[in-house]
Amino acid sequence: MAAASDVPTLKLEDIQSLILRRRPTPYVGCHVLLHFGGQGDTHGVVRDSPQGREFLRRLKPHIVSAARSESADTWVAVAITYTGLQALGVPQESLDSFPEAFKDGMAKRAPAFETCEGSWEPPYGTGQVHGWMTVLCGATNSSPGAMAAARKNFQDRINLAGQQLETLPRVKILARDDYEQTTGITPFGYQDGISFPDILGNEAQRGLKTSEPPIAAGEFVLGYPGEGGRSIKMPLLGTEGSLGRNGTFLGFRKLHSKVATFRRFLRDSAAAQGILPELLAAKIIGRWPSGAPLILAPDSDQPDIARDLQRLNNFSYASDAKGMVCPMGSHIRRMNPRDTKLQVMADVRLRRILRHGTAYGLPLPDGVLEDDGRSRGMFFIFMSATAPETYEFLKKDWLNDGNFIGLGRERDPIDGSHDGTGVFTIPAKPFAIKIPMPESFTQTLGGEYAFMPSLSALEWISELPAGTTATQPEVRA
Amino acid sequence: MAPSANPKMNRVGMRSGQISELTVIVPLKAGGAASLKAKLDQVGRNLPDAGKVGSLHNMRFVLLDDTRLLFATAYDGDWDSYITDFATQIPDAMNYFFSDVEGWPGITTDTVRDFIAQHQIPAYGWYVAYPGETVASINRAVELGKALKGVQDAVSRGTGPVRAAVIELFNATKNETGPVRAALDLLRDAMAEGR
Repeated sequence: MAAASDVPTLKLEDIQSLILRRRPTPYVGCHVLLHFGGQGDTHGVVRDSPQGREFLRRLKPHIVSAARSESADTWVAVAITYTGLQALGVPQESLDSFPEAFKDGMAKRAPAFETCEGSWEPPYGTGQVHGWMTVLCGATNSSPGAMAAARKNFQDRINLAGQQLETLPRVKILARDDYEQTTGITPFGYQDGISFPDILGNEAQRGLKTSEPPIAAGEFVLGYPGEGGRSIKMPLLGTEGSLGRNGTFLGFRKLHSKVATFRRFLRDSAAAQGILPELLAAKIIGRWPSGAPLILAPDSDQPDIARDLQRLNNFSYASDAKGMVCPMGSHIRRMNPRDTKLQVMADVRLRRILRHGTAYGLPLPDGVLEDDGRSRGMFFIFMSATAPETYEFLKKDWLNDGNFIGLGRERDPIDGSHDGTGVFTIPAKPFAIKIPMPESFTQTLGGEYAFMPSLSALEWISELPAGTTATQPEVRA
Repeated sequence: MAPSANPKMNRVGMRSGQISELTVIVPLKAGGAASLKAKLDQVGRNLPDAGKVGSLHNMRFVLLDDTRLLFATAYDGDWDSYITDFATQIPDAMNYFFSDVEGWPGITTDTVRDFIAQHQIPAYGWYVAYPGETVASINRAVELGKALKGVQDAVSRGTGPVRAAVIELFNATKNETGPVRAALDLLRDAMAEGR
């Protein structure tokens, strides 16, 4: 753990605000997938994209750094995939310095960390996704006036970006998903966006009050000391090789939520066990729908705890070593075990990622138990200085396995891959309850790893001379 | 328990509780590496028959520069009886896999012990997670664990007579003390934790 005297001074004006800020709620926003094409592309192989560089040059002044006051409620951020860096002409020596998982791309890595159900939606995993951009504007409250103001702010910023694209026909929008949420509720009906970690030296944003000391900035932003005291290896960018600093890695995934299936599962499983579906739902996540944690509200939802930012995330598992209140296998205890005694040595402070979920699609109305065939789910973004490796660890060891908490091959009840053979264990006296898990409730529709450059690295990339490296599209089998 | 040198000199390896280790490096005949690889490939690079020996925790075949074989294993008990186990339980398999080794005398010969001892390199450091257990005791514990899991599942998934009987067991043994108490507490915790 870093000592207080080691508090780093983060260069906020060089860091994209998305890294250091919580997602505002309510919000209006979108995610855009970009392709940087060039002259003479054949079968999606891009040799060089001068227009891609020009687009980034024009976009850069609109990217919101963490130092800007508007960053409290506005994201305009950009990140670039490995094939995107190739298309933009980043030199081979620099490309070679990136981590293997990032170079492989998420599609190639996915079979190792999850059971892939169904095929991904194009353009995910095709190698054609070169850039990812998000514009998201918060509203001060959910009143019609405040939402209209957020919508206008959003539209103004989208229009600015759109104008730039008009004269750059080779920069293509492959997909655009729009979001508007007056609450931070996921399609499954839970509050999200709670557990934003406190980052040492993050002057832009404090996390919610928690029992854990702040985590070293280097775990989230490249070029600063990490939890181990040294900074994590940076990719070599810029003429001096030092422009990796103030950047980070990011992954995004589009996850379809099978809401009706989940509701029927809650109803049937709770009835079979003689417990309330609401309690089962809370045991699965570790929090009630309001966000109140089971540890502080063991028996029923307590929205007053959720509203109290001093309490909402301020708890430890010391009083619940056996998981009688919050099951070992619940989603939030798996993803951040805090002070839980684990069966396998792991530094939980090295496994933290910044998570920003945005819900897409209209919510399934309350009480509806039949699927309406509509598309809804989460666009899930995660960030850290080691995002691809950390995410893969979390999926393999903490989501799709139970050995680290003494539960054998048991998987995360809500986000794990289920084939009908597994169970979810809820410790209880005198006997634990074992809930059969019939199927997965989320389906991955696609995802990519990307690098989120500092503003100075973005400038360097946008000023690169014509590139020579052909991007090889990698089509997911 | 700290590992110690095996008391039988010359036929040495380290010993940790019930478990011993054996590491040999032996030269391979010309073409031996390819031949051994083909044999190992044929059994899926696993040796399912080795379970017959009953004292074998694991063994691995490592090819060094395709000219030598590093063979390393952990086993229960004494060096001599280990070799005897191989010779009596799976002689054909042993000769099949080691016939590519230069100078291999055959597992049932009088000279095989000397041959192995000549090429054996005792470990200098070695960690064993369960020094007090043998392959047999581990297999038995796994069986018993599965039986307990079966009871756990029966009480966790529904009502039924098993549940009533286990509750009766806990009620009837409330006043037990000592090691029985500790065992019953462990059982009660396992039932409540479901693991």
